[in-house]
Amino acid sequence: MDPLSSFLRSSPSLEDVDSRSIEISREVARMQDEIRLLAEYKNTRLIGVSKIPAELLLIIFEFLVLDTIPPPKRGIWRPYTDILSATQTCHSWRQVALDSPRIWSFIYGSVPLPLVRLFLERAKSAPLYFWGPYDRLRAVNVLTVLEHLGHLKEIALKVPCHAEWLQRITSTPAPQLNALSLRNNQFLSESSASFVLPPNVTSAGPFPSLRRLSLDGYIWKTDASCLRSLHSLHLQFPRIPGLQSELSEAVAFFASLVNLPLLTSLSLNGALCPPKSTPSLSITLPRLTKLAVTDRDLSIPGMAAYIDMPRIEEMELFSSGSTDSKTAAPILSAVYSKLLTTAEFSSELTLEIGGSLHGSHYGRRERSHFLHISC
Amino acid sequence: MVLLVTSDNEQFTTEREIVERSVLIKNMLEDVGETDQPIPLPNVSSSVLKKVLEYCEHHRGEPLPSADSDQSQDETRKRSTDISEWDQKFINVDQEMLFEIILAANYLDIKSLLDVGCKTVANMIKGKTPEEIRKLFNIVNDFTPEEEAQIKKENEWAEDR
Repeated sequence: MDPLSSFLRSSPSLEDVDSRSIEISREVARMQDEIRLLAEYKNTRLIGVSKIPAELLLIIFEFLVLDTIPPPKRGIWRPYTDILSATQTCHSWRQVALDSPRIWSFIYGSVPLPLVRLFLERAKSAPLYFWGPYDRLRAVNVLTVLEHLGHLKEIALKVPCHAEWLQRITSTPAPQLNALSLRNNQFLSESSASFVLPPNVTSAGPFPSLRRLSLDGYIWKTDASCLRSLHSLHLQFPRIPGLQSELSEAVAFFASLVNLPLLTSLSLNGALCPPKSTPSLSITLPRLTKLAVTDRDLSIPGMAAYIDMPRIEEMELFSSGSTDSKTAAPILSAVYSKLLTTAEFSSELTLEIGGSLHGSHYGRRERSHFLHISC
Repeated sequence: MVLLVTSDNEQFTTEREIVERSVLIKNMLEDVGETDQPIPLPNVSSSVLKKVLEYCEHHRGEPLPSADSDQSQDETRKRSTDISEWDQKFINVDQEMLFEIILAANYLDIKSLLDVGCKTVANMIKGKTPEEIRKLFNIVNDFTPEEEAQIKKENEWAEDR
């Protein structure tokens, strides 16, 4: 007879039965713990995947959290599905991830706010990367993440940046910020479209580590001297009638670039006001390897003639307005002469200079190259 | 030519250019200079080294990742799990061999091969539920009730609209 049957035959009292139930429950819990420990032993020592040490498991987890592609329109994009599934597989995988703040430092602006908070909490003080996709960005997520500006290493918003977000970004020191990419579609006034860094946020500016800056739809109204660590600058401004006078003047803009000694890539698209007279300018951009300037007025791409670029490797100068060959010829000649005297040609140089000779056809820009040189 | 000796005592003779895709071996060769002495690889078996050398031979002459490129990758942070067609065929092996190749690539310091291995495991995990991942790798659910409760909460948050 089994122990329980003999216990019941002994006509136990209510207290006896309760006491025996508690005793058995404890025994079950203890056995469940033992089963868990055996399972953990198997997971961490006996199966093939247990050979992969924590540091390599983390590389795999990083691929899961970083390689996420938004689905076609109307699909539901859940960028954390794979990393959450992996960390819900077994105790040791979960622990490896929880012990690594970096895994949780990649914040997507489209996910539910509780997940953003969870990731921020688990990221602890690790540098943060914040990406806002083309749609489904939740404003509350942006404001929540911007509370951690001091830890942000990258901000890339594909959706238009609200004025409040911009104000917060530019007015709070972000000492670790390495890359900033913003878009604007507010063209109501100069102030709504201006990118201004307030002076004296810190002596080195609000972004002392900023290496890559991309501004789409903004008027450049800031002092380049507080962005001395910049390696790459991309400015794009769509043509808005009447707003051209508010743009930075080309000569002053290029003159200010001497404050960016590390600049290797410069891309300008309709970002500047043409010079009113022949520029008096001579600057050197010692590390510049890539220059791309597109403007309606060829005189702005033509500013390349006033810049010494000893390391230039790739240059694309393009006029999006109607330009006749007679106007273009002296500008092209000046740029070409400058290149011959200053570039080192240590590596292959591709120079493309082009323009629309015949204006727009059916809204599509015709692009004809005036000159294409490969040395 | 360079002579390599595996953990199961098999010898492989290979060209220096091929084997120098391993930063570990490259540094060893630079330290010792020209030598006929065999290089022992106590953490790599012959079957795994054969695969590793096949990979190195196919990718010979390609630029090795520099410290600079590591840094720029760190900046962009966008990592793709795309694997080239040849690499996909190469890494189409059983799980046991896949894990051994990953460990060997890590030990020998062959970053591109380590990436191919880790991407392959990541691609195996992608799109699967925790239960499907357990089944794939023969893992057993060993969560405590407290962990199960936290996981349930995470899943509710993930479904939040």
